[in-house]
Amino acid sequence: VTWTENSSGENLKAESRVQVSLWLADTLSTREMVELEIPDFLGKQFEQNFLADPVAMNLRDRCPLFYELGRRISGLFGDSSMTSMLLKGLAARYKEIIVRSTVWRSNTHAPFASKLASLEEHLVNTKYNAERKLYKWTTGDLRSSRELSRKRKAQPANSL
Amino acid sequence: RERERERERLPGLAMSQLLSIKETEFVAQDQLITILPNFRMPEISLVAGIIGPFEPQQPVQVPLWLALQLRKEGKCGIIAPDWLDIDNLQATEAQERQDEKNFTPLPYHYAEIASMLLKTAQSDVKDSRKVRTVLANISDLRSCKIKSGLKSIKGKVDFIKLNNISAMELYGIRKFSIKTLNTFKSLSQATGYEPSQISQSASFGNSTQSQSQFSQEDDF
Repeated sequence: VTWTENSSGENLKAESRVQVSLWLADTLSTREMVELEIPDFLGKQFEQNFLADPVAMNLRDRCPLFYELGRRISGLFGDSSMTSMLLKGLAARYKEIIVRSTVWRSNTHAPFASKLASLEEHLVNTKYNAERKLYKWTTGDLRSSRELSRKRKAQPANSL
Repeated sequence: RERERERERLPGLAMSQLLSIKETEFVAQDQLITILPNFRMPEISLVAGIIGPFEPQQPVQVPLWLALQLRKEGKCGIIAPDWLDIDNLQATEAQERQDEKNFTPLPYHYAEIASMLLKTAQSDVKDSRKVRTVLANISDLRSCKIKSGLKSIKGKVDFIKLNNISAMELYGIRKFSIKTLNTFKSLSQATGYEPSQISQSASFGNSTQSQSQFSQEDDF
């Protein structure tokens, strides 16, 4: 294989370890041109640490796209134990998300919020937005946030 | 614009599944309710059907939207439905407290109907303050049950069955539940993984269907 990134056009030696994009790794692996290594954030050591206390793990620092990449990579390797880890981890963190969803924006939940992967954050925002709209409806305030900010901006002019 | 953003985020979902709060309220206004008009008018033919005739102080059933409009104009009094009676509501609250898993049967649009009646026809609802408090308690109890049920989802779930859930409660969990189910399913499909635990199956049910237990094998 010619490694075209180098301007000198050197060939890539066999048995070298290089990092490539996932899409390229997928393609090369399908053609049986490379052997893939599991990334650190999905390895056995990580799996043990993660399953010991899924809620405490800071997935955002490790890999914000943890679940999406985990799904692709477990598919590449045909590794069902990786899939099991992803499911168990998500199930545990998902329970925590439900418990905290009503008061999500408060400061006490900032530590957990800062550890979420992007998929979890998406779930949280969905739940929180629905609950916030329901709360607003229950209290009788169905004005949109745009209307509210327009009203706030208009008030200083009115007070003059 | 909001609808376009929704479509991008949730491709493949029919728009009809993404009812907003206002749309849910709008649909609720089709429910029939009894009024006591103080005017006389022959029957009127609407798309939904024939309504009336209207005779002073003769009870007649009309859609809620019409009842509210007439009430606002001072042309009728509204007879609150039986389930909104304070004694019945307190019995419902007691039943909700007693049964930790199942929802007590209530009209599908109970929250919207109660909210609109208490807003527009508060004087027609007996003990309206107490009714508000009891309704809030019922809503809290049911929402706790929903949360504990959602927490029990551990893996790939094909569908969730929620008997006697109301429209507003469904709104609160609809998008989140669909995304959750899709997420768990896509993760488990990565390697054709089938968890060794009993595969959970329950369906998102229409609350107007028969009143059966939750069908998930785990407690929900």
